[in-house]
Amino acid sequence: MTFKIIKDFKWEHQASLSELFFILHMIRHSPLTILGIGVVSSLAILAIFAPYVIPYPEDAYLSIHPERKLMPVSFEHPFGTDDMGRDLFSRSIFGTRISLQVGAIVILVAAIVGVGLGGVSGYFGGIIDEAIMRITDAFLSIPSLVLALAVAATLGPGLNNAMAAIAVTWWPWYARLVRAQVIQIKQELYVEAARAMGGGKLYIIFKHIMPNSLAPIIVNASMDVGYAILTAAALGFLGLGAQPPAPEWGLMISTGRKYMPTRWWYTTFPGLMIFLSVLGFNLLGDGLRDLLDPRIRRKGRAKR
Amino acid sequence: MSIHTRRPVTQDLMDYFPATVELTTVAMAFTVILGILLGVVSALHKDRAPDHASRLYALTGVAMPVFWLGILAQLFIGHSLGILPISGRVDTMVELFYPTKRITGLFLIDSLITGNIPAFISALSHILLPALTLSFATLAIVSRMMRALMLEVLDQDYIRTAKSLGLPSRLVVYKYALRNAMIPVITVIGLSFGYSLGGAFLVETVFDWPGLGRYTTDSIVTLDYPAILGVVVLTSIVYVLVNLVVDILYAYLNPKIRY
Repeated sequence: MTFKIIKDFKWEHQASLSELFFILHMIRHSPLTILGIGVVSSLAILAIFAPYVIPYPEDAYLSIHPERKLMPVSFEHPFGTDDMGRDLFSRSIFGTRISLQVGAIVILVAAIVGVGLGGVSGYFGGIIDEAIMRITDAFLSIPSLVLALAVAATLGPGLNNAMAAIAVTWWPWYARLVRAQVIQIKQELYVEAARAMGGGKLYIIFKHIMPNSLAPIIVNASMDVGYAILTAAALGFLGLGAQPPAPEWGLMISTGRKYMPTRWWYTTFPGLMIFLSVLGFNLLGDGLRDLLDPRIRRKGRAKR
Repeated sequence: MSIHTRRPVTQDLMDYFPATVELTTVAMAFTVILGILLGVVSALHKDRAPDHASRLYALTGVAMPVFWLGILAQLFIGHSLGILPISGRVDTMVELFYPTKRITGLFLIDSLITGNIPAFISALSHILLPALTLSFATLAIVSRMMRALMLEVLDQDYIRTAKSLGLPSRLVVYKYALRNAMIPVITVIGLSFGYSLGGAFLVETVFDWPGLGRYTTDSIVTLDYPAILGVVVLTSIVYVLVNLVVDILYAYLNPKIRY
């Protein structure tokens, strides 16, 4: 009985099953993708369960322990303690929560705005396209970190403002990417066929163009989460991002810098966390690109 | 008018800008020279140790937070080994005994023009660490790109022809292949200049480099909006100009492109 169900299931979903097996096959043969998935998923788990897994949950925000101030690396404090005696290991782990949130929200906002404007720009063309593209040009003509800095400085220091500032610098890239995709897909035969059969504009946009232009956006977004984390940390380092006592990595590096070079652990470990998360998202994005790029896929199949 | 220095912003910018120009230029020089070299080496040794090493470097290079890297460089190279100075543009002693006459504001050039060798050496040793830090990420990008392009070019028919004519491989690689592979890299260099300008703000903060970045962070602390606006306008002008030059250079090097 169960055998029959499995067989039926296999029969009905053969196409998607072979797709799944192919994806698993690709992943298995790319150690770097596995590493990326591993790093990102463990960071996500740490972020979700941070308050329950860290050894000193009260140290995440404001707490003062003068008796264990600036202690070096030890068994009780694997990353040492900071100038207020807070356990840096707990704070670094808790920082995952802040940084992953920042990265995800920033890229989500930037991608939504970018996809919306880029899609409109690419689909309708003409003067709308011209107007939107000149706006993106204006945004792209300023180096992104400088723009983020200026926007964050204008809005005033704070994590939410820093996130807004980074999203402002990021959406033009998505708008351009989506526009190029949409223009290309608009001319495909299947879109023409859908139009010839009387498909409405909305139907064509949401049923044909959007799903087909999604792949590069996903790849870019997964990589950009890492870079958004990096930028947020940079703003935090300059005092424009999260404010004390938040356990934000950039902020921790910036305060730890005052205790260099003797208290090396104070800056080293938060930086290591930034490095790890950016690397993880980078590898994940690379792996996704290999999976979603049809040219590479065909090569992979031929090899098999 | 700047609020915290109580001077016209233009004047402030003229004081601070040369230091940033010096830093980013040296960093870009490292990026271009080392990046191309690294890319060629790893393309020639494809799938062997040098290639794997440069691949590892390319992966880690872009993921390193530049301000953290700067602090680590200060710690290991500057402090533990004591080879290079870790902050400022010249030694205070050198500045005292061999003052540099300000001509362009670029210490390296000023001291060379006036024949002020001790100041030049001091300025050079001070710029090495921040410039290397700043070029770390762009170097990774350029070397990776260079490797891919070099491999593509080495696969072309004209390279095979050149080889089959019995030309020495060194000549083939450096004259025929490198020249053709380098053209697309120029665009990337233009883009990474923007990254360097942004990164310079962080590196300057870490290395106490008296450039635009430090001026901006001071302005941010005092909420000095005219100064911040000035910096943004100036950097975007520079960025756009550099990319214009890159585009022109691109068209000049690649006759296939005509606007």
